Amino acid sequence: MLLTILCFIQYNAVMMNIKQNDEFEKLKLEMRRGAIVLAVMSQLREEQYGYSLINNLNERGFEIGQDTLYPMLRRLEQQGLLESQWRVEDPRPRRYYRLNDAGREVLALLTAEWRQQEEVLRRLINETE
Amino acid sequence: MKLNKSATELLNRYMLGVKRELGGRERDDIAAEIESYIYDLLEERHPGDREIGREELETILKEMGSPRKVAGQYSPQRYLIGPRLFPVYWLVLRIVAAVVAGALTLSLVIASSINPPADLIKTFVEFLSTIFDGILSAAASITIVFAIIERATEGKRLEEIEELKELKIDELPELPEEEKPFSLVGISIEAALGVLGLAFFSYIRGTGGALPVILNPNTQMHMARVFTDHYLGFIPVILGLTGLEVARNVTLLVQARHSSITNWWDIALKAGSMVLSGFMLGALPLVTLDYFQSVFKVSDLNRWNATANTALAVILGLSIFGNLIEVIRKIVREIRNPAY
Repeated sequence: MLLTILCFIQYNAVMMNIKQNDEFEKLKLEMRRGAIVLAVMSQLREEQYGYSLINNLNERGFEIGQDTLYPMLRRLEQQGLLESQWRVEDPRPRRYYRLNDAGREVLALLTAEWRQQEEVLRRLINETE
Repeated sequence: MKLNKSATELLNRYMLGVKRELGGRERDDIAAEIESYIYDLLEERHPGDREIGREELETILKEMGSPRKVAGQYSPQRYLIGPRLFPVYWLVLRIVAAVVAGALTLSLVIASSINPPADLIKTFVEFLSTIFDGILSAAASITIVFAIIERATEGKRLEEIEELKELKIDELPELPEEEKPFSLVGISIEAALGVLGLAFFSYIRGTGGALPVILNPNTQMHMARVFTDHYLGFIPVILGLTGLEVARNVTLLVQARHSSITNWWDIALKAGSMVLSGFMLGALPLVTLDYFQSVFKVSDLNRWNATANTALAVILGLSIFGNLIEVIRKIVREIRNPAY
């Protein structure tokens, strides 16, 4: 009986931990979502193809997968912020992306907004610590 | 880098699956980019001129997921009824469900008053099934209409919806005039009376509508009827409704507050009582004064029986009217200002 109770308590503790981790992952994803566009656009001042962009961002500590990046590149292009072209370099054709003039303007605005929000958040967090 | 025959075949099949899922004008372009990504990944993981086999490719494709998943990331999120229309849809659904239920109940009360049904329980079950079917059909039709509106107006600005988002002070809900305070004692008494009711009607059913007559403790007790056979036919339904009322009171005691569920439960019980009263009105005579004859020795019993049943008919008529008003009032209140 005692063993059953101990197992039950242990099971609940593990499940609660898993749930908390899941919740944390969800919140983390939500927080990152807004920053992805800025991160991607910041790397497209220079021309890049999808895979090199993924590697570039990952190497700098910003994790992103193809499932997020490619649809986003297409969306940004439809919004008129990027231009792209297929080019055969190395052995295979690859699609290269770069910011156009409108994209560069939006990037400047987003960067300013990000810095302002970063400052506000830094103050808010420091106040509560 | 080169794929062997088996890997090439697998990649072609995978890309065909992706294309089929993608659709649209940009299908080939998107598919080409996905394929280019797969080659980049293979190149990084297996550098050199070695031929890539099926297993290496399979590992990468498994990481990426099914063609449906990969293609799905390029489609906009779609809803049957999206968050833009959902509040209006939900409001219309509640109003129509209440109107359908009310109209069907009223029509049944009128029909049973004019032409009393032979089998009460069967008719009652059929009534519940009709209400269920009616609400389900109405809900399905409304859902289809809203789904069509959702598709037809996708990405468009709907003035009617935008208007609903604006704050109009006059349209804010009034504070409930009679926010029912939760009375533990009151609900407990109602529950206890319900249990007594259950015991009484079960007893009456067992004695065939008779009560014991005890005039003198020294003489032998005998039974005399108060209710007719017609009334006895209604007792299973009365027991059912009383049981549901007791269950509602117990639920109230457990949750210690009035909630949307208990309020709609109350409305359903009142509607049920109204239907029952309609059936009873069409099945007179329901009471007999045999019991009082035994006690008070009244003369002209038939005339008194007729008077008692006429009085009962008036009470049932008033009860139907009162319940109808109460049901409409509660439905309107619950729709306009729902409990949570």
